[in-house]
Amino acid sequence: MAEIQSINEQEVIEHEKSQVVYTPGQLVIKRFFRNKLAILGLGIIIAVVLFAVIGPMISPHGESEIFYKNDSTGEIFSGTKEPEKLKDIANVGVYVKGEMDSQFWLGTDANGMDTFTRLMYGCRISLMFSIVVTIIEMLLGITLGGIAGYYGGKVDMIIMRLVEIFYCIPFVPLMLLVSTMMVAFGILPEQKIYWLMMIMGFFNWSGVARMVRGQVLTIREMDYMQAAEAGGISVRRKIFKHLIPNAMPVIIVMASMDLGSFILTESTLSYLGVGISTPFASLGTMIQAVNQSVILKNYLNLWIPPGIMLLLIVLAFNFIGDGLRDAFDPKMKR
Amino acid sequence: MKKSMKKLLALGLSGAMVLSLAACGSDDKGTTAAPGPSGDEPTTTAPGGDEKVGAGDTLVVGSTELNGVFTPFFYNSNYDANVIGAAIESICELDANNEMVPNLGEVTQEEVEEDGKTYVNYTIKLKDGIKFSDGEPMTIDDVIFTYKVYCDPTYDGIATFRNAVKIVGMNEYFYDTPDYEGKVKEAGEKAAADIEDEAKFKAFLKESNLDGWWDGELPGDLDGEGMTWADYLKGEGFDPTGIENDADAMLDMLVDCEFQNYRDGYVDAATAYFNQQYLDEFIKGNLEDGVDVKDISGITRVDDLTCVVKVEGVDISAARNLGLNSVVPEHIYGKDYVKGDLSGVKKLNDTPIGSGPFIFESFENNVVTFKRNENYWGGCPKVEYLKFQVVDEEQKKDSVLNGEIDITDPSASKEIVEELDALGANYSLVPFAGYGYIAISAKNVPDQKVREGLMHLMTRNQAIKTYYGDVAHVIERPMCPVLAEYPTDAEEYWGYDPDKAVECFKEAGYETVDGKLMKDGKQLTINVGIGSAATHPSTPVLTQMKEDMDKLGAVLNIQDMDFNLLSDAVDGDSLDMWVMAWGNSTDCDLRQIFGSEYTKAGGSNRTWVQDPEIDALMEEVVNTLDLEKRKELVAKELDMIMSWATYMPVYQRSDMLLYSDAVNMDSIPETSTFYSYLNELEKVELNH
Amino acid sequence: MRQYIIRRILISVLVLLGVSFLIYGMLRIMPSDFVDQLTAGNPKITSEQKEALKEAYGLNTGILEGYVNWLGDALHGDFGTSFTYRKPVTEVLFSSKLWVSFTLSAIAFVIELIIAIPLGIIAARKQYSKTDYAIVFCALAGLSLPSFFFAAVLRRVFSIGLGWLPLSGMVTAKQNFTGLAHIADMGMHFILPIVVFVILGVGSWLRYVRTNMLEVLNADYVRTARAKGLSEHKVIYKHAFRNTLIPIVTFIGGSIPGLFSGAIITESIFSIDGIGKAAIDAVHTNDIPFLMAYMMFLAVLTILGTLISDVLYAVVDPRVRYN
Repeated sequence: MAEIQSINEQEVIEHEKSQVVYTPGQLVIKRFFRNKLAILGLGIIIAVVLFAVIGPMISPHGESEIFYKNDSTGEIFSGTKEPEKLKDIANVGVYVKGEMDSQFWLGTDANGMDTFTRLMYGCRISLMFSIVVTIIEMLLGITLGGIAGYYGGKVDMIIMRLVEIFYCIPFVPLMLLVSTMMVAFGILPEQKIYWLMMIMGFFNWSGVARMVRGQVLTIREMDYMQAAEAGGISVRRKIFKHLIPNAMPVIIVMASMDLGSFILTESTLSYLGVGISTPFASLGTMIQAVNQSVILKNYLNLWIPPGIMLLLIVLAFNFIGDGLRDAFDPKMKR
Repeated sequence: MKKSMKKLLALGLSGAMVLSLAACGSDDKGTTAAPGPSGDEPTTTAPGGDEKVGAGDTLVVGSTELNGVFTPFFYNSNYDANVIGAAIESICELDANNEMVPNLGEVTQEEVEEDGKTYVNYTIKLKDGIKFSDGEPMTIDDVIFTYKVYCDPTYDGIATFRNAVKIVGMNEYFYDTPDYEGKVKEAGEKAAADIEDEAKFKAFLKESNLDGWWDGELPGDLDGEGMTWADYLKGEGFDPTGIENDADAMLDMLVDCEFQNYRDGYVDAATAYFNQQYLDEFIKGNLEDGVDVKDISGITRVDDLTCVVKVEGVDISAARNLGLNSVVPEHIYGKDYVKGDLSGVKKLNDTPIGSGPFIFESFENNVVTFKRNENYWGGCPKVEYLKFQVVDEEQKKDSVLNGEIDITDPSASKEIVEELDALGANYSLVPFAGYGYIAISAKNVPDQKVREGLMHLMTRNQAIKTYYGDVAHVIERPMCPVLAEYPTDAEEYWGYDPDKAVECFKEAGYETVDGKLMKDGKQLTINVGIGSAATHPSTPVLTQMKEDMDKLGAVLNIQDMDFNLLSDAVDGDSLDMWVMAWGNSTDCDLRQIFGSEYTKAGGSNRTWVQDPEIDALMEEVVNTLDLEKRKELVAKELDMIMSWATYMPVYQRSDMLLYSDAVNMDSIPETSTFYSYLNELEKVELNH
Repeated sequence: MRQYIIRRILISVLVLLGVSFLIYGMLRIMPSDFVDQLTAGNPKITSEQKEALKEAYGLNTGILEGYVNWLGDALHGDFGTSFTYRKPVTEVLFSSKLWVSFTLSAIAFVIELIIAIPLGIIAARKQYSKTDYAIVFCALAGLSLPSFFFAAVLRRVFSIGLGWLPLSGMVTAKQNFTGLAHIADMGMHFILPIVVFVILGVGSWLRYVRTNMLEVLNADYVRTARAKGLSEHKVIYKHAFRNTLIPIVTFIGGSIPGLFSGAIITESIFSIDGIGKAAIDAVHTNDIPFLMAYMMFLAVLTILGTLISDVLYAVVDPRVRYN
C-alpha cells in the first residue's frame, strides 16, 4: 500500500516536472533578463567588483605609495621601496602628474601616487561604502517601517514623527557638522569611513521606513492577508512569511537605486572635504581633481577614468534597479 | 593650505584692525572727464565678445567671498577690508618697506614724564582741505569719533584698539566710572576679603570646576595611566566609597579635599575670579544711570585738525595702532550715536562712506560697485567705476585670462606660473610675510629622541619643489625669510634619513616587537593634523612619513581637518604634530612663539619649547639695535630652537597678483608684501 | 479635509520643535564657535574681551538655556542677527539670495518637465525598444555623476574652450548694463548653472513618468479603450496620459517648496549669491542664527511639500479619503 502511494507521488512529481511551470521567482528572473540594459548593468557591476577586489592584489604599487623622480638621472623610484634614494635632496622631487606609461598606466596624480592603483582602491572603498550604508539603512528602515505599519497606533505615530524629523534635517549641512565633530572627537582617519557609513545609514533610514510602512499597510489590507489572519497564524509567521516577502520587490528596487546614489553621495562629501581622508583613495576624492583648473585642462588622465568609473557604477545600479522594478511588477505582461 | 594661510592672515589683520587703506599720491592730474557708462545700451553682446561697451571705464577686481560687512568697525574678513579701503581711508598707511607714512595726516610723538611716570603724547595732525565724498570737510572730531566707537562699552566687534593702546582715561571712559581706580581698589579689597571666607572660596572651587581641572567625567583618568578621581581622593585621605558614580557628590568631596590640602595653590585664581566678579558688577550698572564720562580724558582736541593722545608708558606699536585707524565722517556715522548705543553706526554696516577715491554704490549679484569720487583730494581716479566681483578661488586665473575680471590674487603654483609665462600675462609675485611649518608638541611627545626621529622622516625638499617650483622655496629656520635678520646661510638641520630615525627611536627606548615599534607595551603612535590635505603641499611629506613609519612598525594618523578645527586642536594641545603656517610675521620677535611663558593656555607657544636660555636670547634680540649683532643672535637663537626638534620650517611662498591685458601696467605701483595697487586705486588705469 | 490639514499642521509643529532642538544642539556642541574662530591666532584679544564677545553673541549659555532663548525669540518672529552678515537673519534669508536660488531652480524645473514628460511617454510606449534604451540611458547618465563634475566639464568646454559663456558670477562686472541688457546678461550667466540643474534633475522625472505611464498602459481600461478600436493616439493621450497625470501632479506639487532651498554646490561653483552658498558659508563660520533659520526654513518647506502632495493627491483622486 505504502509502495503504491510512493509510486503515485513519484508520478505526480514527474508530471509536474514535465510541465513548464515557473515559480514567481523564476518569472522575475526571466523578465529581468529580457531587459538588455539590466543585463548590461549586471555585467558592469561584476566587472567593477572584480577590478576592485582582484586589482589591488595584482598591482605592483601601493595605495599611498609615493613616487619620486631624480632630475639629474631621470630615474623614477618608489619612496617606500627605495627610501635611501630620497636623500639626494638637490635633485629628487615628487613625481607629480607623471605621464602615462607602462609602469603607470594612468600616470601619477598630484601627490605622486599611481592613478591606476588608486582607482582600484577607490572603487573598492566606494563600493564598500555604498553597500554598507545601504545595508544599515535597509535594516533600520525595514525594521522600524515594518513595526510602524504592523502595529499602527501610538507606535506608528511615534515612528512616523521620527521619520519626519529625520526627513526635515538638510543633508549637506548636517554632514558638514557631523564630519567636524568626528575629527573633534578624535576619530582616527582610517576609521572615519566606517563612522561615515554608520552615520549615513542612520540618517537615511527614514525614506525606507516610510515606504516599507506603506507597503505593509497595503499588504495587510489584501484579501489573502485577511484570510491568513482569520486562520490565526502566528505573528512571526505573518511577518516573515507574508509581509516581508511581499514587500521585498519594492525593497530590492529601492536598495539597488540607493547603492548607486550613495556612491554619488560619497563623492559629494569628498568634494565638500568631509569624505574619506587623504591619503586613502575613493572615487570621490579622485574625481575631485576636476576642480583644479590646471588638472581639468591638462591632465585628462587624472579625472576622466574615475569619472567614467563612477558613471558606470551608478548607471549600472540604476539599470539593475529599473530592470528589477519592471521585472517584479506582475502587471507587466509584455 | 592656501586657505589656511589666508585665513591666518585675515585674522591677524582683522584682529589688529589695521587697515592699510587706499593711499593717494598728491600729484593732482586734474579731472579727466571720461565717457559715461553704457547706460541703457540695447546691446546683448556675449561677455567675452569683441564689443565691450564702456569697458575701459570699469576696473573689476576679483575677490574671494564677501560678507557685505563694509565697515571698519565690524568687518570680519580681509576681502571685506579691501572693499572698505576703496571708500574709507586711514590717517597713515604702510609703505612698501613696512614703514608708517602719512596719508590723511601724520602722527608725531613726544615722551613726557609726569609724577614719575612715563607718558607719550601722540600728536595727530590732519592735512588741510580733505573732504569726505559728500563734500563735508574732514576734521579731527571725525578721528576722535572713530576712536570712541572702538572704545564704546557696547562695542562688539573684534578690534583690539581699546586694549592695544593704553590711552589715559580709557578705563574711566569704558567703564563709565569717573573713579575707576577707586573701584578697582574696592574690588580688590572685597576680593581679598572673600578669599578668607571659606564658603565663598569653596563656592569658587565648585563654580570654576576646580579651576578647570575637573572635567565631570567619571571615573576619570588623571595621569593618563588610569588614575581615577576616586583613587586621587583616597590618596589624599578622603573616602569616596559609594559616590564613585555620582559626579556632583564627587565634585563636592574634591572641593573639600582641595580646600583642605591645596588651598594656597588656588588663591591666585580665586582672587582674579572674585575681582572680576566685582568689576563686572560695577561695570554693568554703570551706563544705566546715564552717561557719567563723556570723553576719554587722554585725548585732547587742539584745533580743527589736531589732537593729542596721551598714552601710558612707552609702546612701540602705539603709533601704528593710532595712525592706521580709518577715519569715518561723524556727521553720518555719528548721527544717532550716543555712548552705549552703536545701532546708528551699525546701520551703515553695508554702505561705507569716507574720504576715499571711490564712492560706494551697491552690493548686489555678488558685485560691489563703486563710482569714482571726482573731488578726491589725491586727484580724480582714472577709472570711472570700480567693482569687486566674487570669484571662486579656482576660477580666478581663468577669469582674468578670459577678460571677465582685471586684477585678482589666484593661488600660485609651478604650473600656473608656467602657463602664465607662456601666455605672456602680467603678474607680480610678492613674498608672503610668513612661512609654513610642521610642528611637534614637546608636551605630547616629551621624548626629545622621538621628536628627532620624526624630524628625520620629513621629505620637505622633495615635496615642495614639484608643487611650487619657483613660487616657494624650502626654508631651514623657523622665521620669515623676508626679514633682514633671517640667517640666509643656515643649513639643513634635520635631514631625511630613515636609518637615523630608527636609531633615534631605539635610543628613546623603542623596540621592535612582532613588527611593531613598542615601548612599555605601547606602540609608537603619532597624531598629526593638517588642513585641506587634498591640495596641501605638505601632504606628500606626511604620506611618505606614514609609509616609512608603517614599515618601522609605528603609526602615523593623518587627520584632515577644517582649519578652524585644526587651530582649535592645536590651541587645546590635543595633537602630537600639526601642519600650519604663520602669516603676518613682520618682526624678529619670536617670544610669542617660543617663549616659555607663552605655553599657558591662549599663548602661541603650542610646541612647548621651554628653555631659559632661549628666553634670554630672544629678550636680547629685541633689545639689540645693531642689525649685524642682532643677526648673529638670531642665528644662534634659531639653531637652539631647531635643536629642540619641535619645529620643522617647510617653505616660504609668494602671493600672486594677476593683471588682465586691459590693465595699463604702467599705472600699477611697485608691488611688495606690504604695498600693492590697492594702496593706489585712484591711479590704476585701463588701456583704451 | 480641513480637519485633516489642521491636524497635520499641528503635528508638524511638534516635528519642527524636535528638528530645531536637534539642530541647535548639534550646532552648539561643535568644538569651536564663531567667537573662537574670529579670535583664533590673535594674541591681542584678551580673555575678558573674548568673554564679552561670547556674551554679545549669546554663546556663553548652556545648550538648553540657549535653545530656550532662541525658541522664545523665534516664536516672537525674532531669529536673531547673523554673525557673519551682521544683519537680522530674516533680512539675509529673504533677500535677493532666496529669489536668485528660486529663479534658477524654477526655470530648471520647468525645463526638466518639458523634457521629461514627452520623453517619458515615448519611452514607455516603446518599452524595450532602441528608443527606450537611448532615452533611459541618457536620462540616467545625468543622474550618475556629481554636480561639480558636470559643472567643471561644461565650463571647460563652453567657457574656457569655446568662450561662448561666462565662467562664473551673475553679471558681467566689466559692463554697466541696465534694463533688458542687464537681464540678458544675467541670463547668459545662468545658462550653465541651469543646464547643470537640468542634467541632474531630468532623469528622476523621466523615470517617474515612464514608470507611471507603463503602469497605466497595462491597466484594464486602456486595454478596453484599445479594444473599442480607438486610435493609438487617442488611447495614449486621452486615456493613459490623463491618468498618469495624477501621480505626476502630486509629485510636482510636492516639489515646489523645495525650489526655494538653494543648491549648495552648484551655487558655490558658479559664484552665485544664492541661499545655498550662504548656507555652506554659514556652516564653515558657525553662524548659528543664520543656520538655525535656514535649516528651519528648509524643514518647513519639506513639511509643506509632503502636505501639498498629500492634499493634491486627495484633490485629483477622489477615491482617496482622509478621516
